[in-house]
Amino acid sequence: MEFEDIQKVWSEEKNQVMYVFDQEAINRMISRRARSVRRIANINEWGLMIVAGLTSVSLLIIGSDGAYKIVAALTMLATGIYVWWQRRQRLSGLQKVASSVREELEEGIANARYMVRFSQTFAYWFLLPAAGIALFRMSQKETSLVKWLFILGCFVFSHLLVQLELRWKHRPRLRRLEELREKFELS
Amino acid sequence: MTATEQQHIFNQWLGQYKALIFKVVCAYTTEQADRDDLFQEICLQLWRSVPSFRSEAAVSTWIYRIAIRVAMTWQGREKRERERSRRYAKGQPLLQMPQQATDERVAWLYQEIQKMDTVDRSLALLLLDGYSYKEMAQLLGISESNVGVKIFRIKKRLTQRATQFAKDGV
Repeated sequence: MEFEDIQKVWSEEKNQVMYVFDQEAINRMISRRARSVRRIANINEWGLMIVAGLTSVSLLIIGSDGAYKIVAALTMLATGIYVWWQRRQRLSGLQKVASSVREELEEGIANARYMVRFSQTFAYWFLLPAAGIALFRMSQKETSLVKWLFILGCFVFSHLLVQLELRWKHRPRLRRLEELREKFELS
Repeated sequence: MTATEQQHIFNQWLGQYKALIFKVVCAYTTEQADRDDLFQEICLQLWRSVPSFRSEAAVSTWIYRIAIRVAMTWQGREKRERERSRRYAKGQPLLQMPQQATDERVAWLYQEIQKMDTVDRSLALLLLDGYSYKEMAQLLGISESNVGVKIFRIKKRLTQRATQFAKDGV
């Protein structure tokens, strides 16, 4: 059998209806999923920005001594600004148009790498400074053992959550995309 | 672009190029539930892509590119994500099989394509649909010479297996 014969069989298939579907159901599904994805992203981003902003303002208003409250308020403000910048990047990324599957794959890899780096360095740019400030503050006052354990536990728990996400979500995704890119390169 | 315009264009595309989407779906999935899921995912991404579409590319090429990209990355998605998208369909499959039987030669061809690797599957589809090496290279973002090497292997593999298929008397 020649390849042209195979192509002929394939072309005949063009005239057959393979599936039927309900266009209204598709439209409903799209609308539901698009709304849901948008809502989750907005809640996460706005939630973090509002919490960071409010905490920052509260620290400035009700914080006890000068140096601590300014450092803590600035740290929270920086977190809020960082989330806002991330949101801008995400929204501008939605407008980009890749010209080929490979280009989209490269963008996917860049995003996945970014998430891996973000999670890997989370402890350095957020947890350690925040924990440092909080623990230093606690060491200056009489603090109960329960409170020490609770605060330390919160930081350890946050670290573990980020590491779990890195291990089960971001790294496997990056690996999958890189494997796919290798397939493109192999000839 | 308004939401109504976006919806209108999407519906037009889906009506006109559904066969193309089905081909990609069938090439990348074997189970009905997966087909439904991939079809949903492609539709969603296609709908999202409407505002970015520029008339420089043919609509069919644009749809092919999106469908192939989604299918390639979809393969490795986690089970829980698939479950989540199935929940959106509320247990009702979006795709229904037609009453008439599918040509067994076409069914065989899909089985052979499904055995290929992720990139070769997309090339096989484009090749069978008559795309040139240049168009395939542009759509996938690889060199024409790379396309040439891969296509040579795909053709050889398909013709060898087709000969065997014919010998088996089917």
